[in-house]
Amino acid sequence: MRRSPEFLLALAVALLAAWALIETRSWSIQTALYPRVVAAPLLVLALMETFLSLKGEAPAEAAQTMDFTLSTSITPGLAQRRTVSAFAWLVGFLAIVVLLGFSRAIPVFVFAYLKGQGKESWTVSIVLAALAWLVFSLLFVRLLHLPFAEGLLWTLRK
Amino acid sequence: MLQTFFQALLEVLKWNALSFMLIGIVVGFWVGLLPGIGGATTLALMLPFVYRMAPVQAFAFLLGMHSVVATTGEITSILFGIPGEATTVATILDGHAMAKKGQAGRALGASLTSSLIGAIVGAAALALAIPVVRPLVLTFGSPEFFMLSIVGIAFIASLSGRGPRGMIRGFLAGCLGLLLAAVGQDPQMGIQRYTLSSLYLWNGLNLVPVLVGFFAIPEIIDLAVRGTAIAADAPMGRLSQVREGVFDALRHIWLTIRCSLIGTYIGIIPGVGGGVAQWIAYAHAVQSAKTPAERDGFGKGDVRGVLGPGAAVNSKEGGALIPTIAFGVPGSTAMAILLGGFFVVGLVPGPDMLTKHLDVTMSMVWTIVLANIITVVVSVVFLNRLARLTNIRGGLLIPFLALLTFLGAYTSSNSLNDIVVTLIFGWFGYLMVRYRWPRAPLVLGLVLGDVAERYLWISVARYGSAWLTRPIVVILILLIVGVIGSSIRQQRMLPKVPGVARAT
Amino acid sequence: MRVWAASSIIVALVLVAFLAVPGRSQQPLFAGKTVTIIVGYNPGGGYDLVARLVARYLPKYLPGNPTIVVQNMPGANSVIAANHVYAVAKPDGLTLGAFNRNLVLGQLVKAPGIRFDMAKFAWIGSPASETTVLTIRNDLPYRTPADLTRADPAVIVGATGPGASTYDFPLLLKALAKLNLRIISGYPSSADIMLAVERKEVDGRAGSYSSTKPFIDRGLVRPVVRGRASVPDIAQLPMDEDLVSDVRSKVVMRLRSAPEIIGRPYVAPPGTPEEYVRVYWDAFTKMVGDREFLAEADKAGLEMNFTRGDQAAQITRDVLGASPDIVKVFSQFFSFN
Repeated sequence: MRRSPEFLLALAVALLAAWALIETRSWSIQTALYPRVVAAPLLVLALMETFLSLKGEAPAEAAQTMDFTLSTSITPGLAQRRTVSAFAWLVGFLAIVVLLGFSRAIPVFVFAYLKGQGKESWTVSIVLAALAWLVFSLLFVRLLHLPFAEGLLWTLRK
Repeated sequence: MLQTFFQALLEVLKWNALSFMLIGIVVGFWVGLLPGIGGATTLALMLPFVYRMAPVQAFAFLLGMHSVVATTGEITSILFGIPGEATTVATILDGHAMAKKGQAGRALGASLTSSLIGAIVGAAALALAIPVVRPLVLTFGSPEFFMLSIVGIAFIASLSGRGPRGMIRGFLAGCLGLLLAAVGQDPQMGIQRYTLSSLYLWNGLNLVPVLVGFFAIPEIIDLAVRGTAIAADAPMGRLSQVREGVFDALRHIWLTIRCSLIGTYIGIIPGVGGGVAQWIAYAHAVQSAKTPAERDGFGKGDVRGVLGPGAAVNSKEGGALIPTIAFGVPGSTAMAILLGGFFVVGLVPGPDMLTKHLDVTMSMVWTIVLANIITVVVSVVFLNRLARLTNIRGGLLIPFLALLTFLGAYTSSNSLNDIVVTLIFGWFGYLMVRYRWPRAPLVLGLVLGDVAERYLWISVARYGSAWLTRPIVVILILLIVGVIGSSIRQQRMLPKVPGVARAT
Repeated sequence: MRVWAASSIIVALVLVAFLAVPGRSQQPLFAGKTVTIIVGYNPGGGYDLVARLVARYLPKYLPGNPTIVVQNMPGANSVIAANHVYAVAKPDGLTLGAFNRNLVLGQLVKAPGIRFDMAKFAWIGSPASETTVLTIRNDLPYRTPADLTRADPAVIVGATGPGASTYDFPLLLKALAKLNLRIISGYPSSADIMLAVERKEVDGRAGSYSSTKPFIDRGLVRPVVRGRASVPDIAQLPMDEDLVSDVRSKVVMRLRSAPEIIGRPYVAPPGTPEEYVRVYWDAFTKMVGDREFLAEADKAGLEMNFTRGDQAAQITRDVLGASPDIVKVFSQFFSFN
């Protein structure tokens, strides 16, 4: 059986637990007790899980969790590419929010996604982007007065 | 008392109280739909408006608003897999799975009906608890709070996977959640733990961005991967109807009522609240499955997974009102703000509320019931239309889901760091789903970690080791042993099931 | 032709009207402006409540009647918000900050993450002071602080954690005034402590008088000792500083209670024009004399009395000027993280 990258997740959690334990060294007992009590079993469980994944032992029962399963209707290669691109869009959204600020980033992102990824028509893309901006500025800015930071490009220029 | 009970109904039905309630319902409806802006925040924003109102009107307005938030929060959770409220996360697991199967209407119907039943049970509990409220609240001290949080995690962790391997992963996720709860200032000495020298993490991880990312992002990714509408798996675009969901709730009426009672009881306990009630109710629903095959259906769109949390989330409000009214001690943030409402209208919560101002208390009971009935009736009218949103093609929907996710994360504390947290947890949530690690125990651990740590210390500091011998503590310990034991035993007896194809 | 004449007259009139505006008597300072109050906490707490009350009543007393909006910037006990107002917000008189009163003590003990100097803010003042009281359950036999020094077994006081008055106040009483207290900390909020009092898990709680008052009124607890800042209701209670004889203990206690006089600090970014600051001083002074405002504050359990910016700034400078050995003693009892 081909080794799945599954063990890496467990290993990462084990490393996290180990780091959490090491951090507690210098703390007084009041501060350290809880993280120790929690991180120690976490470390053990994560190492067990790593070991079991490495052994390639994944009994059928383990596949059953109380959670949804990712779609399997798409071929793995295509699924992989689409997953990466979806994450890239999300990270890109964050990037333009940081650079332009929310109020400018929203129409830009909606338009770019609809036109670039969704291959929608110009009209649909522009109308929906404008609509998104309108709802945002009426509801969140006008009505709720939430503080939305200016984009980095604007704050730096000043 | 019975006379006051019905007089209070007439008070609430007076036109001015009723119209304030309707305004409250309209506001609460929208707040519930939007992720991020929670019921508590909205209550705080609306509080200034009650200065000139009479008590019954003020509570019709505030409670009307508040009791609707959780109900409509479930709509967002079901349709898009984005938690509408922090209290409606558990609904996503099966509710959104149903939506993907083209059963959005049914899931919405089931969720709203169970919400209504939950609200009625919670309100009834509030009314019935009035004579016994003191012992009811006071028997639970710090040691019991601690044990309850452990029960919650053990419950979820042992139920959320199957087989010994499933157990390992369940407890692994639970411990990870508990560890993540340790981020930030420790409650004893005020020392910063795991804050990576960032001010943002001082007060710990913000729950809303974590939850929004953890649940919404894997769904968005999956939607992008499929490249279809949410309900693409449905047989030829036919969406099931709300009516079916209503019947589902009635068919499983006892489960719904049991989950309502669970919600009420958890609501009574201060500081534990809605974040937990939904999961315990969910676990109870899972537990009610009789065969392993039936149990495997959970998380994949079993209607009972919608009914349980739906009922608990609304019934807990009735429960949370009990300590608020009887002791002036709020059971949740929202209740703390409501408490402000008491003072504003010139009432002092406490024993007086059960005698001199019994009419106001009773009017609150009626407000909860009426507000929920109105919401459910109004919603049912256009739920079928809402369900059609799941037929919109993914390419069109995704930017808006991303927008909703980002805004939901940001508006909880107005910090861009929240969005970073959302993306990190979104990625992690995706990996967990992909490699079949259960997410529920992690969330519960995160929610309960703080409570567990605080009350463990208080129990030890106050009672030494004697706290372990308190009767309720002993019962709860036995309960944990029982739950884990029965879970293991059940799995021993499993025939080796031909498993579902393994994810890559 | 007549149409032309008429329209040119109109155009001329409009032009005159436009040109005349700047020449007319000076515009009110805040006309058409929006003032933002940045609160360091989420909605639901006392700081937010006061800010929203101020936002509704203050515009009446500001020239030009601006709109005031409240923005919440929670996190790190409002250090994040204070850093923002100190370094990022423009000093144009249109931004105010409302922060944790203990920030100045945090600065004194050099807590990490603080990138501001409390003394350099443009101080508007504080519309309310906070009074700390130690209350114990009514069925206990102890009535005076002296009784408490002889208490046996120790009186158990529930607390949230360091940096909060529920913890620091009884800690100083125990350490310096030798009251026989046992502090159990870790409760999530002061409301949770009250419930613990109710079920007799703990015997008492220290905390703000306004939040304790309902429980005193209904006979659950009674006040025993108060801090320096006071309200008429409890002025007769013994003060913590009177229970110690040595100067150093007195100074340490005074240091702890100093921020309570500036219970709800309002500041503007450093460099805000003097003219604006003075207008705010006047407006706040008039606001706390407004009957309607006071009635509403009273309903919300708030005791309003304005400490003007110059006084508040003086108190702040005094605190920050404490001698190193006092700071050293103080740091043993106080931590701000």
